[in-house]
Amino acid sequence: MNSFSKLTLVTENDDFVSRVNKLTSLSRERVRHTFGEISWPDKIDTEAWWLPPELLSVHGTRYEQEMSLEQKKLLSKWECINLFSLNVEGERELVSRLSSRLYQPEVPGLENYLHHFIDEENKHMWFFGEFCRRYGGKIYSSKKMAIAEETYSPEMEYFLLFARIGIFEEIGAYFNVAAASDERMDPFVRQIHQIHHADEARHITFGRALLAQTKELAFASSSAEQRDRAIAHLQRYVQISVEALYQPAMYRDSGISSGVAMRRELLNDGARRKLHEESFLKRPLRFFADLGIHLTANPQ
Amino acid sequence: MNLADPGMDTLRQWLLQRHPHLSSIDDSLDLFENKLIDSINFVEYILIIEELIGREIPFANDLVARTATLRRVWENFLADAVPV
Repeated sequence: MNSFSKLTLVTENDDFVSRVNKLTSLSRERVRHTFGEISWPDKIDTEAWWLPPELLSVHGTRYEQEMSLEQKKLLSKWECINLFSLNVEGERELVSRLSSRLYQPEVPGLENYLHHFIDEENKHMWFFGEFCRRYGGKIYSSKKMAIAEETYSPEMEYFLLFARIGIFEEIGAYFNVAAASDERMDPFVRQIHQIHHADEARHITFGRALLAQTKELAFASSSAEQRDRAIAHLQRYVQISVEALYQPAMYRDSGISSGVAMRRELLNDGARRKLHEESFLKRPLRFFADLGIHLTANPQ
Repeated sequence: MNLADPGMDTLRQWLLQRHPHLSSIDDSLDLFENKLIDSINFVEYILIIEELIGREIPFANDLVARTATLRRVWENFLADAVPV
């Protein structure tokens, strides 16, 4: 058996295959024709909440106390644009990387489901991009970029790909669930969160099942040094994902000067650090801890 | 010789704060090869440059190459910027 073939072992697990088949059926039953389904309003009221106030990056800090209600609502608009921009970026990477692995012999033959996964993410990327352009006039960039080339075994690369996807989707899901059920929100923005989460719940189920299946294969195929590097890679991904929620341009667009200094202060704020741990990172970090991978919400 | 410019000073100070074992940073030093910037602080590095030039820098694959040294930051971003 060559090292490439080990990943394909996951398709020999009947329980796993049965779960993936069930998810494929659900995707087919619940398929949405998103491109024609969304009725875009001409504009969204800037006096409405675009994100619940408790989800704003200033929540729990002195900025929240100092800002007027109007300022906070304006900030909720730009924080929403940032959140949706992060979805565009994340889904662009996801679609690109998943597509490049379709029908490759060294990875599990999960194409039946992955075609739905990619199809749904492609639609999400479209409506998030469309939303940002229509109502924000732009898509923010998180500046997320790989600086050094990292090499892993094929099994570890596959595991890390789905691990990053999982972290990204679970953070997004936290915001989706809270915003979709909040009646103070603008109804159209709520609808976008609802549509997104309906598909994402399946993607998260798939990702968790796949990660549980591939973790041992990935770690067994790697040296101790590679395993440590892989965990450090995921820890950096968590940190970059958290920091991306504090986009200085959204503060500037809300009329607050010195966006970088504000970002730095918020990232070091004790209330915010506690919140990272206890809100949007709680479920994904617990999941990884159950796999034996211990990541922290606030590494520095 | 290092360029005298307030924007360049801001970037030098930011780098020196993160690497207190250094006493100075040459404008031609490759910040990535010498591991002064990694994928985490790269984001803040670009955000500071954005604030210095008063506009957002769009994502581009050559962004690392265009910001690898302080001199390249000057040539690609700061030299033509209107002070903000």
